[in-house]
Amino acid sequence: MRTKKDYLMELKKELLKVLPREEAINALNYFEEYIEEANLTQYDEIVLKLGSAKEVSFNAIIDYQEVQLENNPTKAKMNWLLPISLLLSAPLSLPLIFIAITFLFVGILMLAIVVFMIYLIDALLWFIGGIFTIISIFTITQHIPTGLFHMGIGLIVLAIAWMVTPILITISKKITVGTYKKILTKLRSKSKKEVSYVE
Amino acid sequence: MKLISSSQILELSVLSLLQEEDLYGYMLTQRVQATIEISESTLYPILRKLEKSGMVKTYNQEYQGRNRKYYSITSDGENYLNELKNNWLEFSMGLNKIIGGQQ
Repeated sequence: MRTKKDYLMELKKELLKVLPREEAINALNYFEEYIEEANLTQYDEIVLKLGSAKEVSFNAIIDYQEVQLENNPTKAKMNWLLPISLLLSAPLSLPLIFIAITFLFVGILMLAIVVFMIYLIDALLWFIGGIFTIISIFTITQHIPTGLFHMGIGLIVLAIAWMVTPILITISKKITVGTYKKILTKLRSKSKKEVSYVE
Repeated sequence: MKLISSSQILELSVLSLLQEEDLYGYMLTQRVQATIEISESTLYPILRKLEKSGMVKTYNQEYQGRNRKYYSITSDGENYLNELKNNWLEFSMGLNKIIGGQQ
């Protein structure tokens, strides 16, 4: 049987997700006092009266509540669920959405394969170039034109690989660093989403 | 006349109640709920905002071995309350005029 303690622990976790630490603790104290005054001891009865820890934590955000109050005076519904509910309430467009998702997925997969192939080809260029150059060392002692031919091909292929590799490295570096930065700023802006007090 | 937002109505309610006497969160919610349908967690951000902007101040008082955080209106809060009241009166009278009800 889950109790008040479980609820408060969950609430703390949820509050810390959406508010800066000081604000989260303040809200936690408020609701802890509230639950005591309301004489609620069991997890389920608290959820019934106050709502889930997630709902309460969302309601504790000032700007978020402003929006909530204007749209829905009594029930705290989370509006980020909206896309899902729209999706479910539109059975006609559902197949279309699935097709779109499938296309997107296939597109990404194909792009990934192409990128992988480019890198594979680059690696193969080094390999083939290397093999031809090494072979030429042996063939040149037996038949000079053949040896030179082998060496020429080997060196050309190596030269191409030499030119392509730095370009590929720079591109992949830029992409990974860029993605990493994007994720980081996204995470940061989420955790820094502080309460504002503007009217 | 200016439009009145839901949070302004709640601020008006809270500050009016606090003008009568100091109250703690649970009691404030009970009092407001007696008239307006609000959820149990609705008043927290309203109170926090009023506290942050210096419209109310808080103090702790022990009651039966536990702590109660009381809210009390400041002079800034009283000025703000008057402003809200005037806005509300103007708004409700104006709206009554529009809907053709009694003034």
